[in-house]
Amino acid sequence: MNIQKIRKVIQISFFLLLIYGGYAGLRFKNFLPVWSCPNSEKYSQGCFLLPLQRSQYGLETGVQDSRGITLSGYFTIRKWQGYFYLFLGFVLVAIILNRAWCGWVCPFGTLQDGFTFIREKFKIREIHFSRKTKNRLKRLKYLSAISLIIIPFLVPFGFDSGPEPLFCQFCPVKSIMSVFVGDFLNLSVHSTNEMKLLQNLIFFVIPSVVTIIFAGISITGIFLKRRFFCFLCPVGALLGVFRKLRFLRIKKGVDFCNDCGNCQRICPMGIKKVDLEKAKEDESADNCILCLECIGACSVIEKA
Amino acid sequence: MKKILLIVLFLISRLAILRCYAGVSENCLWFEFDNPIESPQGIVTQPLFIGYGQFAAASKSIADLDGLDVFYTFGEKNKKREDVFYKAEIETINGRPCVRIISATVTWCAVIAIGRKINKVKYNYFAKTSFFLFGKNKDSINRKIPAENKILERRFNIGIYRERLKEFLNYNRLLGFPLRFKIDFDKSPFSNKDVCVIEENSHTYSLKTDRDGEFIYIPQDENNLDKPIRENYRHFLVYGEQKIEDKVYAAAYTVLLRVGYFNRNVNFALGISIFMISVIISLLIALKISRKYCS
Repeated sequence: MNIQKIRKVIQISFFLLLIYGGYAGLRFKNFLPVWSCPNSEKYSQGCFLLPLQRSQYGLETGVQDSRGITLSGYFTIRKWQGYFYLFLGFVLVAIILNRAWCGWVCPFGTLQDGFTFIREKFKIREIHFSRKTKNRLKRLKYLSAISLIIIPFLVPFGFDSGPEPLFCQFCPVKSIMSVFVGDFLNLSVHSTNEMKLLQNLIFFVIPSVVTIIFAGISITGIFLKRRFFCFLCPVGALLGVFRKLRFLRIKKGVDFCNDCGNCQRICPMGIKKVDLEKAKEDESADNCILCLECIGACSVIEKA
Repeated sequence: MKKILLIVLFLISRLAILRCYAGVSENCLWFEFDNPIESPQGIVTQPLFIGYGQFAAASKSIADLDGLDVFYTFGEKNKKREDVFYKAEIETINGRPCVRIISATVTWCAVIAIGRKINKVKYNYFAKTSFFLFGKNKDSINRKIPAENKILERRFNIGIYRERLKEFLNYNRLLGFPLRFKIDFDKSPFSNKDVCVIEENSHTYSLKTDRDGEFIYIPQDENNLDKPIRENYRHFLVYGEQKIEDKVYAAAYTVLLRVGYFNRNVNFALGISIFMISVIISLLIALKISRKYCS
């Protein structure tokens, strides 16, 4: 069994574990850096980005509600203890796996690979963006990560996101991933009779419509471009913060490289450095998800 | 003959009334909700009327009681990890006793009333309810000095624990779905005891708590409440009582039933249409861009 087959088995196993583990009573809470909307309790994994946004309530009141009830009382987490474990879990993942998490574990990454598999089966060509467009796309993940961290801090200054954390209101992943456990609630247009028309529009109708549109764009994106969503993922950006501390690295045999360019062509993240770099051994660029496809495609290794 | 018929009808009606209140042998103290009032500054006031007597029947005056105190909490804890309670002032609105709970921010609140009546038998009445206040002001209101916790000891506590539902996992629906209650008396589960649920229409349902003092009640769904008017709501009361020697403890928890967030206002057909349109449009745009920027 080659390394890619092993990776696929691992990816599918983690997909099943993290998405359907809830059926077997598994609960990892929010401690793994996974986007998976807790709208469905069938998930074994809550969304990592959710408690990150909820820091706002602690800041706002000084003391979190004793029962952990936050703005709308839907979610519970013990504030400081919860954040400590959250941070600890994330740091461990970031140091041990770093972005290998995205390539080997992340269920949404697996889903993207699944879409790529289907596209290739139908022999539909992948779209390619210019380097300029790609660089612009790459910046989006930092923008989303920064907004994720900054927006909660604006709440004490009157920035009210309504009954759900702001990021969740527009999160496309919640619509897509929920479908896997038979939950189509996030692919529906929401409205409420609890609020006036304008508030209803601002907090419910518009966010749900925007979420659905984002989900549609994401589906198109991940179908036409390998690992499209990884360009936008704030978790990837946050993992990148610990890049220098990571254990797992790819070392390139620069002396043996014959410049065939296979590694660059096969790279799902479109990293050019993997081919062009001739001086340094460490090839784990910012976006490298350690999928090892470049190693599988290397003509020198193949010959050897 | 007519007199006999009238007597028979009277007896039947009395029996019917007695059937209605099966399980409620004593008077009780309860809260009734009124519409919340929001000020232009975003401060929300929730008036709660205090009833005494038989729920949904003619209420007695609270002046008949030998003592009545009302406390409320926003879920804060003190250093001993005890709930911090504040004392509420009892006012009279439209001739009815009432307390007003005020909040500037979004918060959960529980209100407890403790009443006493001393006859040959000592009656201890407990009323409780909990709700959310959706204040829209960023500044919280300074609270008064917390009340002594001792006054709340040996209390009859009824709590509501809403089940997370498959259809509405994040959002609590209240109507037509199971509501789980847990009752404690003097800090111990109120195990294997008869309790009853009294609806506004006086229908009373006798239920029994399990070993943990818990029971489940499914309030009947009501289409009338599924309308976009915030003021549409109904109450029901969970009632339990305990007799110890010459003392009677009676507790009533008021549950406010109204349609929660997202209830039935979820349009899947429209959602999936928007999704498909966004997929098609983004596909066309992506293909156009990819031709333009094709490497």
